[in-house]
Amino acid sequence: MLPMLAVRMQGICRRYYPRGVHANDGASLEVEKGSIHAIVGENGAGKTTLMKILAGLDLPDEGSIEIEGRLVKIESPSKAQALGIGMVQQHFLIFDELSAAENIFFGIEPIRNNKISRLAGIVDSQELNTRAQQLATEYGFAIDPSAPAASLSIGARQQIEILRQLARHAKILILDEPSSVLTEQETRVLFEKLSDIRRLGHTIILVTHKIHEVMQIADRVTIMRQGRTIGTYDISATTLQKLTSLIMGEGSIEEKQEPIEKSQIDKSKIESSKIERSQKNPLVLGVDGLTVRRPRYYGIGLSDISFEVHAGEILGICALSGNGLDDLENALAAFQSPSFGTFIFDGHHIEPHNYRRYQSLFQKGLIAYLPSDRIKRGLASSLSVRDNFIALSRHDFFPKGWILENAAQQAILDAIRSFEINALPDQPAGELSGGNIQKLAIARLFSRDFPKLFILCEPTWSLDIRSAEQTCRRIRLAKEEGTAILLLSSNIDEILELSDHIMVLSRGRRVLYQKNSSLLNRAIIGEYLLGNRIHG
Amino acid sequence: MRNQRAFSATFRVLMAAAFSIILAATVLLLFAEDFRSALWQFFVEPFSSRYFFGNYIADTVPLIISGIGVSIAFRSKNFNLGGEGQIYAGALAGGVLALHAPEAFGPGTVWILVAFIGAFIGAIIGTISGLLKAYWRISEMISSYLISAIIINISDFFITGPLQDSTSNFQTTAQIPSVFLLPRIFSPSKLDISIWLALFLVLFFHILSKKSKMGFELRVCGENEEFARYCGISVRAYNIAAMAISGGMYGLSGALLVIGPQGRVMRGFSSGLGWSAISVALLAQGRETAILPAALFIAFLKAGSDHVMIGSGVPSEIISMLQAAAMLFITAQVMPRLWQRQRQ
Amino acid sequence: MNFSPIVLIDFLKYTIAAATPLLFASIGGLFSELSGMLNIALEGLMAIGAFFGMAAAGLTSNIFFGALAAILSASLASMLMGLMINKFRTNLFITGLAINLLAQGITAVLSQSWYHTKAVVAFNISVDNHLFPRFISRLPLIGPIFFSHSMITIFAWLWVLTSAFIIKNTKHGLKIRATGSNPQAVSALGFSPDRIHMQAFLWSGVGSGLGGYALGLSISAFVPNIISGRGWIALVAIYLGRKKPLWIAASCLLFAFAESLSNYIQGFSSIPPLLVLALPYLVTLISLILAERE
Repeated sequence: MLPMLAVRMQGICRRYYPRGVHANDGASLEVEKGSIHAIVGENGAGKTTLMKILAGLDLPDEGSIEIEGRLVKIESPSKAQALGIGMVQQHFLIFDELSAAENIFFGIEPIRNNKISRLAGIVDSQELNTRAQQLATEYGFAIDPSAPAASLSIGARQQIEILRQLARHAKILILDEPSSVLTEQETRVLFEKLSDIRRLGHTIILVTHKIHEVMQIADRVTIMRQGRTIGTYDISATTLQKLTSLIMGEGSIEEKQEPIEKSQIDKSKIESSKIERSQKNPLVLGVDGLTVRRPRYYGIGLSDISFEVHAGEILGICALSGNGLDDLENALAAFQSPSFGTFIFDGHHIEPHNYRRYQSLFQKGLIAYLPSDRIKRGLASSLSVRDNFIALSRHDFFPKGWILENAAQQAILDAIRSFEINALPDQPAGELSGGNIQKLAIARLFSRDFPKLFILCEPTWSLDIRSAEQTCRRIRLAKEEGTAILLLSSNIDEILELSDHIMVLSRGRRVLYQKNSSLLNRAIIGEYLLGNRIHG
Repeated sequence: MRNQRAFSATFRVLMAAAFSIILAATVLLLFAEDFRSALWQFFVEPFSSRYFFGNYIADTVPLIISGIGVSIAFRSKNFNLGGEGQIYAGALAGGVLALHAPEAFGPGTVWILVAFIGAFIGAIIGTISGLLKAYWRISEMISSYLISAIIINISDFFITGPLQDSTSNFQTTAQIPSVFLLPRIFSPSKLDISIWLALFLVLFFHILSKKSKMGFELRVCGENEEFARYCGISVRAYNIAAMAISGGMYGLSGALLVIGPQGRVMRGFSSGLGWSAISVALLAQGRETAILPAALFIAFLKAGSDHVMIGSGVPSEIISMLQAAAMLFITAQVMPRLWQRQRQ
Repeated sequence: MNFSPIVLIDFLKYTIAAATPLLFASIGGLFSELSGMLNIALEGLMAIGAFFGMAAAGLTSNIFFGALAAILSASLASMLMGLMINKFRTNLFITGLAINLLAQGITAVLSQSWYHTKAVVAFNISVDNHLFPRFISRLPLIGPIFFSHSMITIFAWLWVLTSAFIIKNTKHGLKIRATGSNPQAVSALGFSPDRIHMQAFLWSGVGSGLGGYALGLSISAFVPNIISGRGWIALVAIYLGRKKPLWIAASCLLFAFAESLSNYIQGFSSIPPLLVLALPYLVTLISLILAERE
């Protein structure tokens, strides 16, 4: 007899205008009742979108959904709630100013039992706290109902979110990246609770990119890539390696052996000279013990990151989103001074308290930085393309305080030509497509003299193959000229393509630091990224 | 594409202006004794003679100068609510200087000194709010309003107390010696040479914003603070500077009024100008050149209201209602919504 | 200066009376603030409430009809504000300014039209200060200070206590607080933040309207600058009181104290009256600075 399906989603399509991105492209899902079902995939695979559709927070363009065999249309969160579906999102929807119990029962608070109270909606706070306590005990949580939510730990907040859905009688509980903000210990506690909840008859869907956790807790796993479902497997019938390679899309590790041999042949000549060079090349930036402490529920931060980058070398730093790359970028780009850590730039010591010195290096043109969020940080969308271009090197274009009109115009026209940007100088920069914005940001940096250090974040994002190749060529040129280059990216291909040395971060810690990284490949790095391996 | 957006912005402003005019007509219809003569008084009389027309243009001067200042502050997302006090303080400072300037100083020197001290006082007041916001995170809206209220009261005290003209029945300072007053250029109206200064300032700030490094950096700060930081621009400094400039322009307007049409500092003479300058800046949507038509429009509403008060007894406070309506209409986003629906 | 007990008693009594309009307006503004919308139109809303309230009271010779008119008129203006902000996405700050200007204009125009003057409009309506039986109001010290106030003052304190209760203990209050805390969460949980904003603006209107009306009743008239910045002071009381009703009430008393002090000092020519008028604003500003620095 086939087990009963709690959820069946078929052919789900969701397109986002105006970029035409297919967040979901014919995705499907089958979840057995009373199981813990994991959905895994890289960032951008479409997992969260699919779950938001299931939870009524988004509408599919195409596709069907069946709940316990019945065809349904889930138009709103309330409809989802009525069907017994509840979702705990990645960014908690907690009301800091309210108590734990008030958060749990928001909108469905018990009312005092008299006429006036029923009319005015006077909450029975004693009953509220009692019910919260009962609910918590029933599912094995330890919660103080009257505690203000602002004082709760991340783990406790998540428990509140889960209880909130259980209080609304959610039979199908969706958790989106639940362990991304938890410590190992807290994750273990969470998984115990999830087992308990399953034992009480609920169905749990877990969205995550952490495969080793999936192996621990889930019964079945569905793999998604680029908006599509790749396959569904029983956990008992598969291995960590197999899943990793399915997610990364490279086939098994054994297949990859051959290409390594080939590239080894090509690179062997360069290898020896590389080793020589890195012993001779001066240290441009040394980072020691970089730590970023984040306030309570704002993520993991960074723990004790150390690395070096020398002149004429490219160090690629790779991490999945939410694992600390943002904090690293902000610390390196002088946007946010770290909690601890020393920088050594070109022989000068820089501590967090004299961060100004580090910031001035950017002004002087010694360090050039390409931000990962090129729209929020790298663009003023209502200003013209030309204004955006000259903003960074404006001292050159306003030598005595007044603009050199011709020079500025010439510069942007040159940039448009040589970087093949599809834009007009006077166009508002916000109108440009993603690729052209990226080209503009790159043009801005690469039209000047090469600095001592480049900090490039996701440089080939949204670029077509041709432009990406050109960009890689320019980066290599800078390297030849002696610039030290830090490459921060979540794109493994980019990292592999350009880097001499590779560092991988997972959960804010350094899990791999490989000099001369020619032996690395996609699958291996993937495992480090997913937190399966730690090398330090 | 770009033309479409410019078109819709201009369209919105024109609609707002049209709406105010319709509202004005409606109020007249409801409250004036004789609708037709009230209409004529509001819409035609301000232009009907040299005297009226010259006074109308004279009224645009403080609106232009203060409007530029408010516009600059808006552009860096700062709201200066202390205009009433800044104008008043600038006026008082300028007036005191003019009253006590020795005859030996030529008129030209006095004008420059008066203008300077008015601007200076206004700038200091604006800077205080800017500093309070930059270092103590106190909303510049609230602090500028409160400081303004304090200053108005202190100034009132001086005007009706130590500086009160003993020969006058009004609450005012003594008359400023006529040699130090700004020469009139369109008699019998009160239009004086400060109009040239106003036009010059428009041109000056227009060029500054378009061609200078400071203007460029200020623009970037206003558009995207994070991007400004990325480019190494000191956002904090520009925020404070913006408040200082808008305060200074208010103060300058006040001082020029005193040695111009007013000739003395009368209690409450500038009441309402602070808010009007904000309306002008809103109408101009952040473009210096648009300040001129915006000031002309708001001054027209004011002139119409004044004429209608004298002629038909409708209180001149309808100007407040008209300004309110125009402000709401401009910031409403009804139009862009329709636009977006078409694209999808 | 005269520090005799009688003067002191009058001083404290006046403080409590002067706090009444502030209590109404600031608690009204609190609802709006808790829902996440800073309401800078309290000044204008109070003016509207004062005008229409006194007009209705004068017309019907009935204080309660006046109160009703005050509430209705200010609420209407306040809901207009909410509509502009939520539906038409106008700027919160500019809309508030516009309402203030609108209030200025409408009250002057109607005052001229209905009463043929823009200056003082006297009404034959006053409040009864002798609510309590004589033996209570004659008690030494506490009698005159606490028990010889009008119904409106008593009602103001009831308003404070009721509002505090509503905010803390009812579903409605919880929703308002939640909306100010995390509007996305509110809509994800199935409620409309826009709707709750409108409800909060309604409360603002009720409070401000009554506050303005109380001012009018206290002088039995409507004058052009009747509100004199109290709407702004109510706003600051909200922040000074850390958005907690009882602390806000204490702040209102503080400002009323400053106002009483300035009136009291005006009786003596040692300090000029106009300078003393600036005192409440100065106190407000200093309190704000001190509060932020903590």
